[in-house]
Amino acid sequence: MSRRRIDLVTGAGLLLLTGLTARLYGLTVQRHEELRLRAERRSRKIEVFEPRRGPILARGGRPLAIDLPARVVTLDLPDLDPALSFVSPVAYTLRIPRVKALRLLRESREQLRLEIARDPESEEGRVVLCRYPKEEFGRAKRISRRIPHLRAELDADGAALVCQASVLARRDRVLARLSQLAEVPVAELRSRVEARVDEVHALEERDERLLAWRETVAVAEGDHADFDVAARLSERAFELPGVQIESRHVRRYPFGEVAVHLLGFMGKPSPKERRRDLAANRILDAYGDPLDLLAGSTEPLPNDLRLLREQYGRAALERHYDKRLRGHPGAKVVVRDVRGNVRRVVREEAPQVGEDLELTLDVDVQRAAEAALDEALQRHGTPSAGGAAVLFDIRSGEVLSLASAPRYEVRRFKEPGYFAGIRDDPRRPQLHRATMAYPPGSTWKILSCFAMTSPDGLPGGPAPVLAEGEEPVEALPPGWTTVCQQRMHRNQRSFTCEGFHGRIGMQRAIERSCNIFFFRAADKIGLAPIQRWGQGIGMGKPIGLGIPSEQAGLVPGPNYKEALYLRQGRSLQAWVERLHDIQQAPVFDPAAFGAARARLSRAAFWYRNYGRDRVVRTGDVRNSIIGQGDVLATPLQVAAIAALVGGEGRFARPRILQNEPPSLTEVSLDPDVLHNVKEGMRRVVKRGTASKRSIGLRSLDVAGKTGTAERAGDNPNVAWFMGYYPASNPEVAFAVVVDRTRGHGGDVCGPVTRALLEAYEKSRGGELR
Amino acid sequence: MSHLRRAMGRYPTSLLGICLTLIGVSLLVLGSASLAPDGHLMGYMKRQVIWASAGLGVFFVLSLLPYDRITRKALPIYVLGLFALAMVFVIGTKVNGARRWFSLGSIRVQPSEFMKYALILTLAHAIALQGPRIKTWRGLATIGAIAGVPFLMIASQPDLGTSLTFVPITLAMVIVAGARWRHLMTLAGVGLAMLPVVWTFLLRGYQKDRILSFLSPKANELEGAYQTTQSVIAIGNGGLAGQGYRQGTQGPLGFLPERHTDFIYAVVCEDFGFIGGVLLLGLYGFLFCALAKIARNCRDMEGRLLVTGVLSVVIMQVSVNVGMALGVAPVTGLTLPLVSYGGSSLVAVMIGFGLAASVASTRVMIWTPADAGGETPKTRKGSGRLPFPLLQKAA
Repeated sequence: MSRRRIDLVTGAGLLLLTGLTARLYGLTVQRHEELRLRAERRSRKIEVFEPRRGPILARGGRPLAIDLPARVVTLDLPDLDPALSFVSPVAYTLRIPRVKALRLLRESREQLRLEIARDPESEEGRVVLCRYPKEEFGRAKRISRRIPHLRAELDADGAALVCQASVLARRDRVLARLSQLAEVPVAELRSRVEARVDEVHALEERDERLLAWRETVAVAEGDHADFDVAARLSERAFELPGVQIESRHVRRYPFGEVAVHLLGFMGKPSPKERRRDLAANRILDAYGDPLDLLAGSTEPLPNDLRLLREQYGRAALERHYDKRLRGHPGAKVVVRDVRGNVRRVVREEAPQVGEDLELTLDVDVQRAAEAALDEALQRHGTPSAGGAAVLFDIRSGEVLSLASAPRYEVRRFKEPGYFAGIRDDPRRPQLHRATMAYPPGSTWKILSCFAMTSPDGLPGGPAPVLAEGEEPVEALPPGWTTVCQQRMHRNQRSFTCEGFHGRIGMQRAIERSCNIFFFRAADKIGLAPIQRWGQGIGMGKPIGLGIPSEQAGLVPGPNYKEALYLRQGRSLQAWVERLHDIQQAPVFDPAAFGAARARLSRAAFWYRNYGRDRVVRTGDVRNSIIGQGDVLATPLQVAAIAALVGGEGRFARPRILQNEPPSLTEVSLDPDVLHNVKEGMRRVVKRGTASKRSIGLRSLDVAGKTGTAERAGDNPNVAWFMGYYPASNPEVAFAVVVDRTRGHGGDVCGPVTRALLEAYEKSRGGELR
Repeated sequence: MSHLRRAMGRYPTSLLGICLTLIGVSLLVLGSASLAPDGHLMGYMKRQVIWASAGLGVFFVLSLLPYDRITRKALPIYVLGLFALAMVFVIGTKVNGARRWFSLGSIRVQPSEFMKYALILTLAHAIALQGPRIKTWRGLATIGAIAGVPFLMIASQPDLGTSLTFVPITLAMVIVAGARWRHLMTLAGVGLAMLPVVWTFLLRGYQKDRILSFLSPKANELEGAYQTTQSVIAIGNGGLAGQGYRQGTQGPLGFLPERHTDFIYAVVCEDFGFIGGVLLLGLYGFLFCALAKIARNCRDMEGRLLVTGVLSVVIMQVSVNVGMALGVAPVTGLTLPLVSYGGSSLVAVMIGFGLAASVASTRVMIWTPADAGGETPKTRKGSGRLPFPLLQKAA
């Protein structure tokens, strides 16, 4: 009978084996893929190399923005602070979550700091990190064996986890010394390290236990260590464990503030962007392991593989062409063992250096323009003044100068408060005035001349579409004259001119910048021709330089106020909806709400403004023909008008990228009108509004037009000077604008023009003609 | 009074064959498991050969001894075992708050392993002596007491893992001896009722840990869950046919801890896959059957119990160790018989097999004086024929 029972026991054993086989099957066959991936993740690591970022070059290959190798001081956290590895054992021993253990450790550290401040000898002693019941001693002992510097002890008061005080205090000591040597405030270093530690622990919570982690913290954000600092630090390496000097590429702007608005700058991603990138699963996590990226696949690594710590373009060209400039990171997939040693390389891909971005800008011309602008602002500007000076080649469209003033310096970003200071500066140096639209003032009159003589739009263009009830406008002859008596009236408003000109024709009207001449023309032709010519040249929309901040300008047409009102209304509607969305969102964001409400009230203001008076009146038409009122144009657009004349109807659209093919605009202009305009513009400099000797243009072979747009009230003017050079055989067109100045176009902008042209000639190796 | 006669039984060639195969497997797998992260081969294979030889020696010696000679010495062995356990308390070395072994000169002596087999011997002898009394409460209680003393001594070392192994051994032997199911059910019920008491008052911290972490590995304990997780990953990584000899990632790269002892099964599965894992389990299945066959063929209760004891030890160790590796059993120190690296555990297992071999190779006959007349000893269940000449006349 016992035989049966033997069989029973044996049977039980075999049954267990069967059960185990089933589980084995479950693991090896059903969950094979999942576990294989995990094994792979455990043992594989992707090391990513940042390639050199492509430089932004000016004409002649001179680097405006370039990656140069620099020394960066980094902190290797496990070396710097062995106490960081105490968190897990403390948590395990006391059976508390890691976050609490981290806090406990921090408190111990604080206490120790105070003790050492009181009595430096205490750095030699031992520190009790935490106490726990005696029964747990074996447990604590077991785990502390694996952690260097940590011991589990039984003393008079019970069981405790202890370490040498010097180990706990090492971080503070090293950071203090480092801040001394590297001249970085110690509080900043401390806060950086703490932030990184928190980050690491947060990541550690969701991942498997990490056997070794190397973490680095850059000592100075996005900056490099001076050679002296680096030398000093490497000399003292023995007293700075955990401090390393790495060689990295750092973005430098060798010409300082030249073209700073155009180039932009680099920066780290904001926490929100970082979260978004992590969520998109395309970013490597802090340990260099790609999230969910199959290390074993043979597909090329995605272009968006980037390190969390990388800088990327934040503004203007650096941002707009970021992908091109960034290149493609190289990567090495390695197999490593439990200690982190690399055993073999599975796959290797070389990094692709970023593409160069070649600009048409000329450094010398740009620099001279910027200097001249600064001087003009100094002399004629009010405290919130600003200006721009642009110059481009009529035949090829290459923009040689896109100067803006005032400017800021990127290399000073590391100074505390500098970046915020820029924002708060009343001069508003962050505005890229070369791409902003201003009322063009009398420079607009050039375009008006063509508009009045060919009111049907560009000659050779399509026939104008007439609205209901609109009658075709009769063209004014090129030789048309009128009488200027300095004053005109309409609807209790008076429209004045600079001088009493008497009978005046086109040439003299340009030379003297007579307003009445154009007012009378405006009464005859209305706004439609101006709109046709403006839009035909390319006003009213961005030129297409490729800079996101470029403004469009405004060309008024017969019902422009209605259109503006509608657009404003749509904008208002959009803001109302956005406010509603923010209110209805599951998590209320008060900051976003406040910002949206501010924009809404502004939109409502303009809506009411335009709504109040949507009728285009005579005054509006008159203002528009002389480039005041609601007309807006950017400096490049104004220069394009000059190019139209200088090129005799043929000019290339301005561009800043070298490798773009020029795109020509061809307009066939009435030769008589062209002659009048050209003659008028030449005389402006010889006899007219820009002919003062002090300006310095009189003796040069340049033709141009001044402009002084007035703002409502007593706000200062917008001063302009635009034209082409050399007048006899035009090569380049230019436009200079200074905003918020008390002076007039010629006086303020003339000297800048001279400096601009001088620099232009010098860069050609010629003389100012 | 009965007298015993001994004769050559069948030499357990199948048992020996399986043992040798397992040893061979062990050496093979250790070749992979002893690959250190930096590439060098640690000394486990070599040492395992030594231990295996020692074990085989013990096996051969025991297999040629008549087992009843040994069981007659059960009491002294038992007392010696208890003495050794007591010595642990007195002069034992404290490691991590536990005292499990003591040193005699340069030799480490860990009594609990050997106590297992001492207990099997003792219980076999005692139960057989009791005879039908096993079906009574009193009989059960006696057996329980015999097993209970070393159980408590080991449990308070503290070595709950090893001491708990005594329970299935005792249980299996008692069942085979013929204990009443009713009695056993009652005992089981009482045991279950005692669990909460045991949990609260008797279990220590880390022991509770191990159980808890086994139940929910996501509790992210530093010790328990980690080993199990790595083992499960290693096994899953193996897939159907394995990654190849020494080609695993968890093993050779060092992510799997204790891979030459506790988690050797994971190494087998990582290198040889489901196929390898099943084959090894099958091999153990054959081992169970070989032992069972020996037990069945034995005419004598004592022998049967002896082999049952050994069988239960083997079943337990295999199930728990493989279960540990697969993540369905809590992590205890039980090693895989003959395949895990380990000196004392290997020799201890070989002692067990040696005893079983002894049972197999000894045919016991019992004849009563009443038959003295014919001077022909009869076998108990009369087949009437003796395959071999008598070795010795009983005294």
